[in-house]
Amino acid sequence: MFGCDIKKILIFTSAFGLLGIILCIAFFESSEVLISALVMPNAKERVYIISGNIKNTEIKSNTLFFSLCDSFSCIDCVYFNPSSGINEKIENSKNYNHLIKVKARFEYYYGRPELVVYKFYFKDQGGFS
Amino acid sequence: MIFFDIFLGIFLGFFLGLIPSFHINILAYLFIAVNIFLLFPDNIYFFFSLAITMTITSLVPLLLFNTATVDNFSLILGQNHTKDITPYILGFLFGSIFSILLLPLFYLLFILFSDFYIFIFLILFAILTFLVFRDADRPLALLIIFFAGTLGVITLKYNFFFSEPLLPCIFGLFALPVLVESLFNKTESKGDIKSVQEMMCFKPTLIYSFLGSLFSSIIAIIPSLSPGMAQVIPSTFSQEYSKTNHKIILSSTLISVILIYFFMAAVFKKSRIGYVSILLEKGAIFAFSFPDTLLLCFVFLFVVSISCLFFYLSFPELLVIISRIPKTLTLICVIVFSILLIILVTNLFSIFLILLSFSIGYLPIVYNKNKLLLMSYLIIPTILFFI
Repeated sequence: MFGCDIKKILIFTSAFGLLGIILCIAFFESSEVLISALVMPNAKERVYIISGNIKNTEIKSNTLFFSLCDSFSCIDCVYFNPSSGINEKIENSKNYNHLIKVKARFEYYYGRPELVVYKFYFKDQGGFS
Repeated sequence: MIFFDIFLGIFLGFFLGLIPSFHINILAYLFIAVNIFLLFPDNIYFFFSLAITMTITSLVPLLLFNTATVDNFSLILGQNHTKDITPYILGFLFGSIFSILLLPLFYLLFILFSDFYIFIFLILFAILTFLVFRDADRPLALLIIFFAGTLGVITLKYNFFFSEPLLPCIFGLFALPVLVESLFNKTESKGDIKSVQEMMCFKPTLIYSFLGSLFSSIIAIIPSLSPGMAQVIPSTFSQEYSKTNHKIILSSTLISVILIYFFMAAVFKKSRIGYVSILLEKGAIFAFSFPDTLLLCFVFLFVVSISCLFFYLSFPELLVIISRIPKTLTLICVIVFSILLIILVTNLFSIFLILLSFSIGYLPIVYNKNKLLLMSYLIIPTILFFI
């Protein structure tokens, strides 16, 4: 049944996978916004990339809570199950007041604006995490 | 950048998979030793592609040298190989498609059952009981479970020897006995066996690939069950399957768990194998939003397809090249390199653990028993944890 068709099937699925990757990159790239824009009323709930400085870190039940601030305002952030490497980098960022980027989902938690962080970009510390 | 990661992963994985009994867990420790996480701190798609391609090309040492890793050793249970890789390729391909489609089911099952400890305990206990009762010589099977389980309890539960026992024990139990057996096995491998094109039908191929992905989704919920153990369920029905269908279902299982394990790590921050565990610890796997999950699925399909295509096209040449390499020398190099790496990662006293676990791991080979019995090394400490 399959014989020489297997090559065609593999080429087709490779092309389909490649197309999917390109479409994902093209249409789901998160937009970069300011914290000030998120704390304004009726900001849209979705995934953004946000820059800021870390303040007020706290770990409770293996969840990291912190505030991300720019020159004008701060927003509460939460990051679930941080590894020891991430904790260390976040502490460094806080202590040296490094600017970091996060990829996070903006949402309202009991009416308060909050970021659920997916990924940190620690550019100033020679890497991403 | 993502395409660079993917192709680098495929390229490296293709060659690393050709090394006999070189498991991705050992590779992860090698990454730590050479500090690769400084170069690739969050390049998840590099590590992901590498794991996929390594799994696919690890078929070559399995078919040529009969040396399996802990993950694919079930593939050789009762199998008489031909060199036709079509069933494996189809198992990998359709298994990858079904595992993507079944990902929501896995998500649901994990949320429902991952904290249901009695259920996990009962499943693990049932698996051990099944393995004993399936064996013709039950006292001997029980003895192997007892030895491996005791080793697991004293090393993993109580850390009796030292703090990094997993790597030397897993190597000694699963990889080293197979390598040593292959080293002293003078019957010349499959070099002279002609490739026989096996008859493949569309419907059974789809059905058994689907079953492989389904079993992976179920098994991945339970801690201590590795991809090798995920093949317990299909192998229980092995008497009823044709050999071709057996290969399809097992290779489908093997590829599906990779997607499931990475998805689980990204969404639930849980790991089931050392490779993913180390990536999580080093922060290489970040939390996923829905678009990230979608991208992961497309990358998975792309990498599986392209790796299978390269593998399928280059397999005849690979056979010729590898058959020229002296088998004994290769196996000795692999053994020496693996032991040196383990000593480097842990310490010199690992040799004692390797020898101890090797003596237990060699029992199923000597008495021709199912190697899955050795998984009691992980299962019994997990059962004790849940009691």
